[in-house]
Amino acid sequence: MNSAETEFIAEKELVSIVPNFNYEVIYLISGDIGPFRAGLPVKVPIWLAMSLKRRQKCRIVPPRWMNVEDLEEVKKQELNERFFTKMPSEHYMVEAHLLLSVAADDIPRCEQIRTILKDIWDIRMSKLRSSVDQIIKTNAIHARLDHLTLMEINSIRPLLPHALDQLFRLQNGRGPSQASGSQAFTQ
Amino acid sequence: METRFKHSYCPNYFSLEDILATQERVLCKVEKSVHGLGCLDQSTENEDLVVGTTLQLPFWLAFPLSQTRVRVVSVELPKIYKEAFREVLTADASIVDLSKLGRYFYEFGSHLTKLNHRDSSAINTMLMNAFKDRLRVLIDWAQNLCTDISKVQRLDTLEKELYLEGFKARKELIAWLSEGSSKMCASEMVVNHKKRKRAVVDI
Amino acid sequence: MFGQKGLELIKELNRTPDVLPPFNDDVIRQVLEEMNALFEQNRMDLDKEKDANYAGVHVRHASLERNRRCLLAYLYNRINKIRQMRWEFGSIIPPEIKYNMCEPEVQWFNNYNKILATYMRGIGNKHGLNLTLDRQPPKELYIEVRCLEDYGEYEMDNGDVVTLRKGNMYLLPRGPCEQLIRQGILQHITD
Repeated sequence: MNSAETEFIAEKELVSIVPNFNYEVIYLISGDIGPFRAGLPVKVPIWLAMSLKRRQKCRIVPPRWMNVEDLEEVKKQELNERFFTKMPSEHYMVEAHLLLSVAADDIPRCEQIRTILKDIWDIRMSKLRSSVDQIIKTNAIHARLDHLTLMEINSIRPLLPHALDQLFRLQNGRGPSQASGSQAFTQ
Repeated sequence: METRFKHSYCPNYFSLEDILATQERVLCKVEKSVHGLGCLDQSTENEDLVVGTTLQLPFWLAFPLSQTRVRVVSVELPKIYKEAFREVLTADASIVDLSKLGRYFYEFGSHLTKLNHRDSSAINTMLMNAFKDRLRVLIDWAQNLCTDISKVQRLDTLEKELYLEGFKARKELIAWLSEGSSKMCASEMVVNHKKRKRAVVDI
Repeated sequence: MFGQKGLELIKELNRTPDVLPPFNDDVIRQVLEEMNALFEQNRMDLDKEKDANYAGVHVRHASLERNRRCLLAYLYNRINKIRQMRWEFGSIIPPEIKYNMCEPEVQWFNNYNKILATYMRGIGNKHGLNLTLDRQPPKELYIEVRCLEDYGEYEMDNGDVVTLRKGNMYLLPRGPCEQLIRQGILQHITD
């Protein structure tokens, strides 16, 4: 799975917008959206919000957690805890990335928010790196890391699973051979 | 950026790496004379392979000959898998230049453990531990996008594959973090093909 | 030493993992000749029932197996690369690459094309779905592209025909463009 696919999954998250047009309900396979009334907030998936914003048909309401104070709190917690803390959203990085790129004018103090998010991301990535180090060093058969988001998990794919596959292969070795059965594989 | 259906390397009958790994040579001692195949030993003019001759044979040939009911050759472990060198790797595996020891260190080592030598399990343990130690350094390099060629050249083929995978994934993530994912690109195969076409035309 | 020619084929493929080299008829013929010679000698030895050369039979047999493995691996890995080409280049391979393929390989590609097309046509209750498009999640309906080579007339799904000339920029629907972008004829522009 790569970043584009993770982004695609994250785009399904709902965000609040205030449209400047009127439209009736849109019926989609994943659910109904709308109705749209100018000036009244409505929840839509991020992909639709971005498309509308680009055409200047709405104003995006930042998610409840996307403000400097709450994020500072999250960052402090992340620094203090040894393990990963629960993030305000399952796709916090993607949502922030998308919304800040398209609706920077609707989100107050967006540069500061960007910086804090980057700090949180860096802290979590370094925790992840040392966890991975631990996993390999201690021969763990399984490891459990709570509260990791999909984007963070993706950052160690495909290197970690493939590396562990190779380790597993070496561990099992070829074993003692049976007389003629394995000959075909050595030629 | 393309969807990659990349599977973890697992050698099979058709695997090019495995074929090359089993081409590595081992020192063998002839224990049963082989009539008419003196050509295998390039140091003598003899028509037959005499008992007691020592010669280098590729592993794919040496292995079945050592497993016959009446053993034709006995195989000696290469120096780098013997005890003395194993000690070096156990001490600190991450500084060793594996590319100088033969480009398929792990693969070949795995194959050697099939010989049922008394050192087989020790070799297995050594390979695993060396791989683990070096893996941690490797993951670090890939995550930090280390482009120091001299470091990468000290890696074994297996490690190099892993490193390149990690490097590419990391680069893609960083590109996403800075730009976003909307740009479509020409496929790698096409780009390489065009480069070659241009090179040929230039000549 | 036996098996050297077979190994040459393997090394050739390993040297250039992203390019399909010309089909090496010559070396393959030499490998097959070596295999025939080994087989004949083994047969003669076994006919004589001379137990003294049991070892020699083993050596030649191992070499035969090795040569077979090299040949099969050579063919298999080439076929894999050709299959990948269907997904990268589309259903028509550039003539320079086709020149490097032997006749059976070209036939294999055409058959694979047919099978893939039949499969894709049958998806979704005979509605059809082109699996080779949208290798990445699509972002917008229309995209801006720059033409890198003179391509000429190109017909869209809705029947509109657009003339693609080198250097010009166009705003086109994503679907039809994707194939051309992958082939390097158009370049996707993002601000």
